[in-house]
Amino acid sequence: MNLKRLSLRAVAVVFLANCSVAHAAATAQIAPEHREFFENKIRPILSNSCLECHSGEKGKIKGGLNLDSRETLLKGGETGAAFKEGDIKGSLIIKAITWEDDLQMPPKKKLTPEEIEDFKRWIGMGAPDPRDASKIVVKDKKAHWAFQPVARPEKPAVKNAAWCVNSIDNFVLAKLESKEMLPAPQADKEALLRRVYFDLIGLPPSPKEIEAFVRDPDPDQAYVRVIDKLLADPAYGERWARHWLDTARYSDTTGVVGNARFQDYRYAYAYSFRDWVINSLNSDMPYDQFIVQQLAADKVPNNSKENLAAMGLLTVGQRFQQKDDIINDRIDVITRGFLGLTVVCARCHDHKFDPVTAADYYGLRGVFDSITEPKEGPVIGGNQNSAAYQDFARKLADLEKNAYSSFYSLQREISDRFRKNAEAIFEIAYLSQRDSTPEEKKTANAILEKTKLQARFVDDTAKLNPNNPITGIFFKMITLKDNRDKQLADILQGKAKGPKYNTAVIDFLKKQPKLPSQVHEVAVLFGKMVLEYEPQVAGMYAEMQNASKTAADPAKIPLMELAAYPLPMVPAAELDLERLRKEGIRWGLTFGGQLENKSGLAKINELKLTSKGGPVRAMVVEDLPKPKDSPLFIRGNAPKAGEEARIIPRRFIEVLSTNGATPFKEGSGRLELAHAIASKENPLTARVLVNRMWMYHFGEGLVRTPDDLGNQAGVPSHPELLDFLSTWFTEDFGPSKPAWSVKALHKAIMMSRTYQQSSNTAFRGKSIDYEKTDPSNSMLWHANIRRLDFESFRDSLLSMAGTLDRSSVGGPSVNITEEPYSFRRSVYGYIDRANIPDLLMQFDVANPDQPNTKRTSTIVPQQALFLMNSPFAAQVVQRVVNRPEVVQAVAVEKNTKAGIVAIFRILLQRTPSIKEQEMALAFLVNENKFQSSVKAATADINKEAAKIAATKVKAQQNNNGGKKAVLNDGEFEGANVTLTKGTNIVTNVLNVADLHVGAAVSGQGVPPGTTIVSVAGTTVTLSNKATAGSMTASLRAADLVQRVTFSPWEALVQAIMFSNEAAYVN
Amino acid sequence: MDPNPNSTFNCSFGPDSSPLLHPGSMSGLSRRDFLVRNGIGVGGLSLAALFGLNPFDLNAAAAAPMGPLAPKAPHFPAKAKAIIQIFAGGAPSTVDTWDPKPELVNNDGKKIPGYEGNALGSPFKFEKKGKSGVEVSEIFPEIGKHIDDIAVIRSLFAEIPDHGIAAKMLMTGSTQLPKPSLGSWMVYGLGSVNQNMPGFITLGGDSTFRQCAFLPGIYQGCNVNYDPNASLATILANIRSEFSSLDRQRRQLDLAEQMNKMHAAQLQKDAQLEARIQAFEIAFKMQTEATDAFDVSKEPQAIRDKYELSSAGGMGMGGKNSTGTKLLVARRLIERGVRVVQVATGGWDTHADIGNTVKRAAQGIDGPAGALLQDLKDRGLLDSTLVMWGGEFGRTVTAGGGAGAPGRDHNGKAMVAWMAGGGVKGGQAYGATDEFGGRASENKMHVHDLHATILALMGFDHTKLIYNYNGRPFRLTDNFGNVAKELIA
Repeated sequence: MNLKRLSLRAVAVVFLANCSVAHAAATAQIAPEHREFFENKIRPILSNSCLECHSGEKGKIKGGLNLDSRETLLKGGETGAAFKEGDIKGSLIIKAITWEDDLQMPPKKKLTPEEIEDFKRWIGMGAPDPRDASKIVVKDKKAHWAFQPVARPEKPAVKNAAWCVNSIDNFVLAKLESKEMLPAPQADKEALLRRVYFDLIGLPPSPKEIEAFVRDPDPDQAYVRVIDKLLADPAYGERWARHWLDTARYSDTTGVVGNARFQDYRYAYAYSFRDWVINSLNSDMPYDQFIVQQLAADKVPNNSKENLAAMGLLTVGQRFQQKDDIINDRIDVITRGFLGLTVVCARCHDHKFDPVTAADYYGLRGVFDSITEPKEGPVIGGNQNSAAYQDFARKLADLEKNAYSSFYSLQREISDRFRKNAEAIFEIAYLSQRDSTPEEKKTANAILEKTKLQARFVDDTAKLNPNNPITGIFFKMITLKDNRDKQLADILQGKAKGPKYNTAVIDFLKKQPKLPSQVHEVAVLFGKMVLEYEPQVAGMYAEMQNASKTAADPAKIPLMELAAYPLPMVPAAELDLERLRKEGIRWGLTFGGQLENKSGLAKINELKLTSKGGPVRAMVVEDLPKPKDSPLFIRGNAPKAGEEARIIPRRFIEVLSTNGATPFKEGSGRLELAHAIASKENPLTARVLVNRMWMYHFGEGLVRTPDDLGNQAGVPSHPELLDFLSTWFTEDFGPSKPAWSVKALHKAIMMSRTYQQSSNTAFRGKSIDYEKTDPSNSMLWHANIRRLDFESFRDSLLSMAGTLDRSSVGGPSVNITEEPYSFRRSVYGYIDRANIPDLLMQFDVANPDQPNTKRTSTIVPQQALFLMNSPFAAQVVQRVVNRPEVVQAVAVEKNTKAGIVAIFRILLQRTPSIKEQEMALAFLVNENKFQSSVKAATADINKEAAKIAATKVKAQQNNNGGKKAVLNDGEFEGANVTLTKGTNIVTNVLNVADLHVGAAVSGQGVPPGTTIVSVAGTTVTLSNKATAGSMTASLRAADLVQRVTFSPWEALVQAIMFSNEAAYVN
Repeated sequence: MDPNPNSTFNCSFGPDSSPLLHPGSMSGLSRRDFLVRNGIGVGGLSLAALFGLNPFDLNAAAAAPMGPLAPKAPHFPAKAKAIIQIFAGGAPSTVDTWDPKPELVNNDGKKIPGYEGNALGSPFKFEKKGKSGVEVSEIFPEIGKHIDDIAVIRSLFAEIPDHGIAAKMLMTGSTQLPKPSLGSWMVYGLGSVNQNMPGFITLGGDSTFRQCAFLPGIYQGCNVNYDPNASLATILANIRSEFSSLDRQRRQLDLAEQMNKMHAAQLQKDAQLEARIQAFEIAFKMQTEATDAFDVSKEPQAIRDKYELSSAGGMGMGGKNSTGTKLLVARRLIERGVRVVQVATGGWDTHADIGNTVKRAAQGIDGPAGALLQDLKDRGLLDSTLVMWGGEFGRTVTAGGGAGAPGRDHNGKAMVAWMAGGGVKGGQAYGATDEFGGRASENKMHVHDLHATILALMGFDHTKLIYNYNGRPFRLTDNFGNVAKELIA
């Protein structure tokens, strides 16, 4: 029925369209024969082959080219006008349809030769076109509600005014009353308290807190007190920071993998941003300041140094290989994060749906192309006088010293090896170039064979090219043909233009009676030079490494270069960790890899990551001294050298500007950008924030796409309410409600009757079919049940187990996914964006690739497996049963009921019904029976199991994710290597579930064929026949995990943990 | 390019902010009901886009049973139901493997027009095989036996001679920001026919090869940390309990379900709650079924030998050739209804000494892949299983620089791949390169075209397999891709 009507309408639309065309044709000034030609020949081609992608009327204008009318053809697209009057060959559209160049249109199927001829004729006529440009309707993207200024609507009148606690309720109730629907009654006290706790602090109330709340004689006051108490609890910031961190695509790593891994992919101080967010929320930093700090804390006058960490928003993103992808990511996080606008669509073209132009994007690009990051961020925390700090400093100094000395010793090792074989390497390399003849190759191979040099070493060290300061002239001796002697003489006398050659080389060559041109002779000469300088070169190593000098002695630089060759010379004065890292990349895969291993760069980062008392640094950005405007990239491609491009001044998005988007003046413009966003006049900023807060309190936002309020977002469920709250939020009503106060907004929402509704929908009468009228509850006729997110779920399990560590707020990230687990709150969990732990993925944790405010809520069996089988779940179960109130109850047989009640209160924060108590009791009885009937039969097996359990140990990863703590360097290179005591071996190294004599051991750093030869207590000895090595690993007592079969009580706890109620908030 | 052994069972759950179907327009079922039934989780418009359906057509929606991996019908009847994708990491040489070039051999050591350096003819002989007479290099004696089932693609290209970026292109159809992988798109479009197993499993490989990016997390490939020496328990995280017997777990689930019924009784009907109950039931069954799928010790010795597994090793998975073990596991998974299995292999980055390096790489795959094709055929699975082999780009036809025996450098202008089974028209060599083999010239096939063709074999119009994210529709083939119809039987 519906379908039929739809298709009829579609026909009507087409019919109308034809009418308007006919009308346009009648009015346009065009010769009849031209019109006929257009209608018969051209219009069919356009509509069959072109307009699908190039019509404003149809809504798709690929490449900016609109073929709706002659005017738009003349205007052209990104690559220019579609045709030139009277110039058939020079017209772009003809080039495109003839597939002459790269631009081939239509892309899938070339037009027929006849069609191409017709098109050429038409262009030859001057492209007469009866279509009337003025009649073509293009939707006004700016008309969308979200781009209109926010004004405060009057609160609507309602019939049942008594129901309303505050204005929010008027808006909600008015809408329900218009459909003659009733709101749900108030939630019962236990359910409400649980909801408030999880909403504000992400933790359940304790049995005591429930008791106090339920029994309070003044329920209204009790409710207010709870909200105030929780808003003041530091746990509030920990809970709500996680929400913002989803949007801020927070991760502890760069996401860089593969060859670029030489650059440590872990951020040592990402957590300083996370902690800043927690602290800002806890101190109720006004939201406008919250924005400004994150974009431009370095520009805020009289700012505290702690606030510098706010700029982590810009710096904790993924580090893509292309700089422009990093800039794009930063623009994305800011525009989707603060403005709910998908501005990055405009990177390649004007936004298809929203009034955001490519120029808007490149105005912002200029801002983020004008910033840089310092080598090391400023110190913002840590007590310099503490023992821990000094311990950190000492360790760091040792590691750095080791890194620098390894750098030089490796460099020396390589250059020594090179110089010993300089002649042969030169000759082999020269004869092994890509275009060497087979005969030359043969000669090279013969030398290679004779000298027993490794081909790889030759390839890595021979830097043969005419511009190389050391080998360049030698290279030229062979390759120069015309006027060779004169050219070489010019070089030696410093008259030639071009590369600067090493003066020691020049001095040597000047002394030569003759400069040979045969490869072999040149190689011999090169070898001779190396030998001649050998005595002097040796002294240069000490010179180069003299850290007391602020700069290298210019007179000695040529010799130092020779000493360092084939690697670049780096005097100690210039060597820091950043330089070391860069050298590693420059040295190529082989040497870079060696340098990475020996310098211990990873250990330095590791120390910063795990240090408990070291300095805390902010991950800041700075403006470049000379900020630059960006050219507009056509289709997102940077203009090539010499290509003309439109320069866009650094500025804000036009449609959101009140000042006509005047160019930014101060430095990169970050502060001006921040103020433009954090403005009451900005139509999006407050709406986006209010909508998000609403979403976190109700399960769905008033607009259901929190990161996109543009044209694709549709209409809010309660537009007036959204605007009401948005204006109220930004206004200052005195000390109890300062402007932009997030905590005040929480309280307003939570005080409303709307928020306090029950999720129980049994109240609904028969007169109205509620579920049919509003199946998704967008009108808010009851509370939504919501699945706990991963963090709340894990934290609540730990809290039930009594092991949640809430001793401090903030600090380096911890391992929450592998044994031994940290018991800190989940917000402190380490997140490696390149390798997100399974557990987090299985529970829909936000993917830190991009800003993602709304989490998916997928249901997969792996979630169930985690609860059923993971050691984490088992630990929780065992600890719940060990809680005093349960132990007391369980100890006495008669108290079974009390035990059941205690368990329900801990797990579900409510008293079980009698029916539930019976169910639980029946379960227990059944499990006990089961136990006794098999007891005798399993006695022997148990004995055996106990033996196995004694040797069943679990080795663990001990760091914060990232690099695994693997066996130390060089293990297994010699015989009988013993691991130092306390060394941890990662799970990958020992697959410890089957840790027994004879078991194979595999993993990073362990050669294949390694097996366990003995297990004694906590010492495991490994051996490998092939490498004739053996080692012993001492496992710490803390790493040992015993697996003991659950008692019936534990089984009961786990079963309740499986229930939906445990995973949802009512 | 070596498989990353660091993680077990990596099912990642990415977020989604697709525009939602406007809730007011639906009737009868709740929004969640609708979405969960169709296995989308969220993103109703995408579902409609996916099937080219009227989004309000609940008949189609209701036809799909519960669960985010519920099997779904593609756009048109599919030739293939499952894919085994063998990734030849390192970028295989073309002229030594599947693109014989006598002219290159004739000019060995000489300059050739249009190329820098000197021609490096292949040291390997090619011979016509099968009824079709397609030429096969001597380094593939086993795979060569199946040439009549294989379509060799000689004209593939992507113009990206960088391992990491090109591999990303091959796996996700994009070199830029994170995009969903081929396998993720497939499971998003088709669901899985076995609810007790993940729909997309990778046996090694980079994490980008299995990423679902903006698709709901359920569509991310589950990486199984497949190590021939490891025990099953460490391969599949949480796959069995060390604390309870299966009997007891059954009784626990029964108690939980009783509680769930009481919990749901007073609430608005919510499909998520039901789905969660289902998830526990599936998990319960997975404990036995998944374990079984990975246990190749259950295979007869004859089969194990063909895949070049030795008899030694823990659970019988040890072997001289881990690729063989993985391909055998792949077959066992496909048999159980897993939609996409990706096997990462390597060894093809042959910058030096092709006579040995290329041969060695070929030996690593020839026996196992030959065994796989035969095995699938014997079981009647080859017709419905697309087996594909290929790397991230090709290699130069001239000798690379450097000391020692010559090798080949990176070349993005021509690469090779082959496909077999699953509706592929075998016994043909598709497309051609120029006379020396360094550039694709006839029937040029971009990686986007390869993707379009794979999707066509799986029953999809690649322009209609769409997901809306961040305010725009996305496809595996972006705005590109043409189906190579000649490859389809």
